[in-house]
Amino acid sequence: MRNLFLFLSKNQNLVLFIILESIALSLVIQNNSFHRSAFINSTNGVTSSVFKTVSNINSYFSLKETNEMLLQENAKLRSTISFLGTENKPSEFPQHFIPSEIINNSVSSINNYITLDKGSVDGVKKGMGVISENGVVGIVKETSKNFSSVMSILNSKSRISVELKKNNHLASLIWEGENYRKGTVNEIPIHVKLFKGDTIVTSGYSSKFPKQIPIGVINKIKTRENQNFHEVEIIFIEDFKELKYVNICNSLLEKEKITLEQNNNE
Amino acid sequence: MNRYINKHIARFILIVSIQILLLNNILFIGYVNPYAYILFIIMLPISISKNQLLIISFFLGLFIDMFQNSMGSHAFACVLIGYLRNSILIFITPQIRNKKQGTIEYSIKEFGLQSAIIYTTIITFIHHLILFSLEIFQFKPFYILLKTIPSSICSILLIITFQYLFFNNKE
Repeated sequence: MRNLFLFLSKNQNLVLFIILESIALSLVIQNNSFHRSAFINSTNGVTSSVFKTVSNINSYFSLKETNEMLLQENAKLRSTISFLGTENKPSEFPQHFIPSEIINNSVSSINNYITLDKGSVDGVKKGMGVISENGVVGIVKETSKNFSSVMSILNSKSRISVELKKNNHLASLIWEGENYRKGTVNEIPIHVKLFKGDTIVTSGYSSKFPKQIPIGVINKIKTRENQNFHEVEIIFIEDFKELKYVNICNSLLEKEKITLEQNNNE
Repeated sequence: MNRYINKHIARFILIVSIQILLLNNILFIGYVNPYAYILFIIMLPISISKNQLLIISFFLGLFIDMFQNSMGSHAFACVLIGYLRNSILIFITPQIRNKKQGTIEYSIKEFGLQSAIIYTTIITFIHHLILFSLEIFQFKPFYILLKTIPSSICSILLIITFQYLFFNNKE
């Protein structure tokens, strides 16, 4: 025992080094599992207030573009309303949208997260989908009182159910971490004929996102021999680097759907 | 001594805010993201005890992690370069061993441009290599190098420039 203490005090640098490295490594590993540690992320008080201030200043520089975007969106919404008036068909999943502003965004690392300025006070909950005007943005991972952290689809752990717009073939969208404009769609069977320029939309099966939201356009189709699935590279319609305003989807019937599906398994 | 600590705290705040507010928003060609904040570890006094050095590096890394949502990977890389720093310095400029008394600091003026560049390059490359390997968390050597090399070059240029601009004059 005495020898052990002697050894430790002789090599205290090495011991401290190993302790600190194992703390850091355990944090990394914990981050890779679904439950992330609650306090070291960008939804805590200090970091989010810094981001909030910076974003307030930054938003002045893009006022003009934002206005233009809002005008366009207004026009689009108005046309949708008039269309609904004639058709008068109830939508399958009633949804309620929470508009929100991005206060921190990243596209450069392998696992990108986005911080939004709406939190549990505004009704945001874990697992809600986030969309923008031109596509899907991600899924809410963590919420605090006034902020929430979103796992962007530019994240190696993200996996989103999508379909081909023209014939509703299901597939799944992942991101391989190389370019923030390009994603990969897997699991399209080999017999489906694909063309460059086909649109990929959300499937609506996960009920986190509304149906038929465009995500990207097919850019390259790789087909290897002896494989049953296409590997497709798509270009995202949304430029995630320029993103500023998003909508959080609160699907009113999701809970009911999930309970029903769970009952099946019992 | 107190004035000395204040100077380092001010330097910490300056370097960390440059990293978070400016450099984290830079992205060239989809691959380059400079992490110049390790300048703080490079600039810490040589006479500081190794335990202090390790703890300071750990918290610097953890601080950057908080803002990047990367959790632990910066802390890991920082502690590693903190541990290796003194050995690298002695390896490059053996005459440092004789000057260990007092609070001498590393600076380009003191060591000459050539050894400063070698020192910065080794430390930055180790840091970036470990950082990107942890972030990718898979064995893809080619892809890791593809991210490491351009970012390292960018960081090294930034670090050398910062040293010339701000920290070269004796206070």
